[in-house]
Amino acid sequence: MKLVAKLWIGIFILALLAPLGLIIPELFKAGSAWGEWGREDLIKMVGYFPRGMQRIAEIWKAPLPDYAFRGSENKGLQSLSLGYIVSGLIGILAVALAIYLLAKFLTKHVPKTDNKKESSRDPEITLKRRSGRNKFVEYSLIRTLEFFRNEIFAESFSSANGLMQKIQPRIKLIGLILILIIVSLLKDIRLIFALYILSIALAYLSRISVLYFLKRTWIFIPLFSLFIAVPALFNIFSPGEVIFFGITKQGLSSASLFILRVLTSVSFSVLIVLTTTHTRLLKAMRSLGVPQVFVMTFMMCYRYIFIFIKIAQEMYFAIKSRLIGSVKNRKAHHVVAWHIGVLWEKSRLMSEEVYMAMISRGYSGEPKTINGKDI
Amino acid sequence: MHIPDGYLSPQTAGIFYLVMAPIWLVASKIVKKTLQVRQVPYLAIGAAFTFVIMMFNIPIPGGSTGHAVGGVLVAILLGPAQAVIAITVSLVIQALLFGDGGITAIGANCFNMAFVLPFVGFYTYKLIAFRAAQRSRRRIIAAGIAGYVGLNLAALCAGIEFGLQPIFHHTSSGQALYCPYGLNVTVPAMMLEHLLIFGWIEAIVTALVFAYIQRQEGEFLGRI
Repeated sequence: MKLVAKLWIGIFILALLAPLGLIIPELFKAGSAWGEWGREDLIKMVGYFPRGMQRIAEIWKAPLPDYAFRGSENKGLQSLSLGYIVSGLIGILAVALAIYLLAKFLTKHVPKTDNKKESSRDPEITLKRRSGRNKFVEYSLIRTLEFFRNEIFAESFSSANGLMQKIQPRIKLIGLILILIIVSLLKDIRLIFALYILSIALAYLSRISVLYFLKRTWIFIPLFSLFIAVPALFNIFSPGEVIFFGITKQGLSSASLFILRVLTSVSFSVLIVLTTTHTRLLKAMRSLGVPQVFVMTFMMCYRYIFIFIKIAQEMYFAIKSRLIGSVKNRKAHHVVAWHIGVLWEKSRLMSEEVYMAMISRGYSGEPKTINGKDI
Repeated sequence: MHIPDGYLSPQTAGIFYLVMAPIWLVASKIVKKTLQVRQVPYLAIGAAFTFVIMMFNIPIPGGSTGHAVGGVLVAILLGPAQAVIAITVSLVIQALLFGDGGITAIGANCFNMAFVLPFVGFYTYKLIAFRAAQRSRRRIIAAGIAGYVGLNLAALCAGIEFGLQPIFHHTSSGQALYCPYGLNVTVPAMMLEHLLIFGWIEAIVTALVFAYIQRQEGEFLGRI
């Protein structure tokens, strides 16, 4: 066993033994430490409670006063001991977390020594590691590269032979909309949680790596929701019964309901997206009565996104390969604007070419498609 | 500004679908009239263009970067009705294929970003540009202001949509069912970041790209 693990076990055993510190003084009828008297001790000793002391003492109400749960002060040694242990564990966790965060924060800027070795392998990492003056070029390149990587990754799931992949896209789409409506109507947190577990189970049965699924569903939207839901916990925003540090029961329940609802909705949407190829999804939309013009526009748009992102990426590579010095903010804005302008010009020209290509192949305003197997 | 699923109540989301239905209908009628048979590639490419604009990072002071939405730019270049369709398609693709923005919230997102943003932007541009010459500086400034105003009004709409949730939907003990903040929080939160940062990015991009296109292909702008 590693030394660190042994030390952790030692700390937890100490926390379990902590009530001894409560029981032994009790056996000898010992009072509080000198200078740490509580209100009752002082009244006993001097006959009254100094008013100034009272005012200051009331500024901060500890969540676990005297390492005990609120209201359990007079419930005897057993309950007090339990409070002691729980307080100890909470304290250990809080201290460990604080130090971990502090360490992470402080060591963030230390450069890695094996930088060179890694960067020669993957161009993306080189882009990320090199800090600098022309970040906007690099960020844009990273974003476009990530887009392609994510898409290719997602395609590999939709062609896997899992449970959800076998279901008709039309049924999946209707089901998704129904589930989203149900999730937004449910008010019982346990039912929403059950649906969330169901989404993970379905992902597992569809041969999506659960870790990837959790990553994909948690990052950004639910995490962002969690972030913005934190202030809602406190009595400033949600008045009501205070349980802990100004966190109210109402705040806690509405924040958790909110996050769980967002998380469940996102999970189901991602599940459908991951298990259905886009062409089948769009065909499903068509068979559900979405107008042909819209579906056709979607399909073409989806194709063009890839072409345009490729063009954008090439333009950025072109700049990157010609840049030696730095680009100042003002100039950088112009560079981005030229890019968008050029992209616009290219799209306009392409639209005319595509139109002519369609006409030459017999397009007359009413598209005809070769039907797939399941439509 | 992409509202995810679960932030809005189904009632609110439903209302926005109902509000958007006639807008989509009228917009596609206008587009059909003006574009005839070449509409499909034209719209598809306009939509793909709005999608890709979001991948262009713009440096902002302090070494960070942000990106523009480009909705007002599309409205100025293609016309507001065309922008409604192009941005809607772009938003639906984002929601359906990339999970950006909720599926139940498509109506609300389209109202903010595909209706309020291009229309407000387009008419602000028209109002300021008035009868200035096609290649005048005034039009560039008008485009910039339109970008700023359009984006901020869209953000205000999103803020109000969030803020109305706890007022209409809560349990008897006052627990919010959807977005937990009222108008007094959501509107300042949305407006602060858009007035100070994102609005400026949108304004700079709109004005500079407009200036570029004005210089390179001024005759195209005259057509709209």
